[in-house]
Amino acid sequence: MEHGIKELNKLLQKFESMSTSEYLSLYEISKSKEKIEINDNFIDTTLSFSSPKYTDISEIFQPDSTNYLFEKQEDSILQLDSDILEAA
Amino acid sequence: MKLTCYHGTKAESADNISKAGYKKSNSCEWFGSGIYFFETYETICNGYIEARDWAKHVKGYNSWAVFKAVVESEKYIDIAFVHEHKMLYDRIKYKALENHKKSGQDVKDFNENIIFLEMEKHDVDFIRALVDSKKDLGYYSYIVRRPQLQICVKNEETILSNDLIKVKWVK
Repeated sequence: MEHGIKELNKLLQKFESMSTSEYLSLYEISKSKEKIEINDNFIDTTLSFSSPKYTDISEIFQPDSTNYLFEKQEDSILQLDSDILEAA
Repeated sequence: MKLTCYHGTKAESADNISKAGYKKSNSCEWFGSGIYFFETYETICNGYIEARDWAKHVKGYNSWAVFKAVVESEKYIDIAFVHEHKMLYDRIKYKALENHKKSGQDVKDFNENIIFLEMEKHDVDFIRALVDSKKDLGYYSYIVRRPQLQICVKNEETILSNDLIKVKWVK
């Protein structure tokens, strides 16, 4: 059986056989870890927008600039194209 | 599976990452502890742009950098494109939600990150998922506006290469 399917089946079995106390314990851990741990050198590897308060990046991209590709002259699509070409 | 993906960061971290590699976050949010990347998928989403905007706008770094990495492993969970993985994930989510309700918790407090917290104990090198980064508009909305193909790398050894492709310094 393919590896991912095998692992997901194991995970399904775990949740199927999980007791209420086990679930609550896991739930408490997930809640307690919601605070993102910051390491000055590697802050980038945290995924802050996973928190509901960060998911709404529409605040960042205002309605008149929802086409974010054109948000600034310096980041115009032409510039991006050249960046990507340069990167490739 | 081999993927090419992008990671956005602050410019000041670029040198450190180039020399020492990444360090996994300890957060259990979203897909859990790992190194997060964005992938390009046709015209749906551009990994480079998502990585850049993550650094510039979500994190608010004035000076930012983008890395391009190649990740390869057969030990992955792909809830974006692999049908069987998506079906199994839905069943797990259903069971987790059932447990949540049985334990007396409010449905609105349910967070899928509990599934990925439990997944930490499993032998998975990376998770791939399509995420709607613009889902919370404050009102009912059913149009996906900004999908992101995200990769959470759990095992750093699966990162075959990691090249700094763009640094923008702003004074």
